[in-house]
Amino acid sequence: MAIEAVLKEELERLREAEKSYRKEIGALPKGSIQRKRIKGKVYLYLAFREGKKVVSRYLGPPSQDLEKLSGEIERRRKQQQMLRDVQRNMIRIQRMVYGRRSAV
Amino acid sequence: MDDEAQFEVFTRILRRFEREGVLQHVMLIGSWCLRIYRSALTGARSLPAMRTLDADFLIPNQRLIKRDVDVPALLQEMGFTQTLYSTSSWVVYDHPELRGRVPHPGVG
Repeated sequence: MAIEAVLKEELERLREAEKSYRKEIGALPKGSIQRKRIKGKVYLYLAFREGKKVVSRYLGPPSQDLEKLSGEIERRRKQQQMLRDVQRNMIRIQRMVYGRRSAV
Repeated sequence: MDDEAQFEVFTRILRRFEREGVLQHVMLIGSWCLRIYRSALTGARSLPAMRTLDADFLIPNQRLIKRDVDVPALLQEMGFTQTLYSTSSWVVYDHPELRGRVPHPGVG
């Protein structure tokens, strides 16, 4: 059936996209950048989760390199959202093609 | 494959092309034209909603485009990820809702 073939093709496309987003996310830094003002000066810290703990690592004063890091962290956050959207679409299509019980 | 979500991403690409000053130099061809007609024209709901997964653009005259536009970078800014790098003619970018294919650098 033509529609089923189209859906399966879309499912395959989403699987490729999922792999690619995971790879991209894996290469981007985790966490968030926090700014702390100490004695009138701003210092940056990278906060991220290690297991159950939240770790705060000192980065230094604001700089161009840290702006770049901030951009990469933001990109990771956006790509994580894209990955969630891909996975949601995969579930929808799997249900259309295979039915609810067989959706993997 | 939500039609509205897909169409929203597609129109965002068109608006970005417009901001970059290249929309007037590209021509949308193929079954995606029907989707635009359904949206833009009253009385066009009878047009079929089925279309191919790829939206195709033709550039009738490349020489009229006076500025370089980094289409891969533009797609990546919009959340696309590079999924396939074909050694033949195309580089493929995917988004949760759409796929984009860009000619391999040097091919066109």
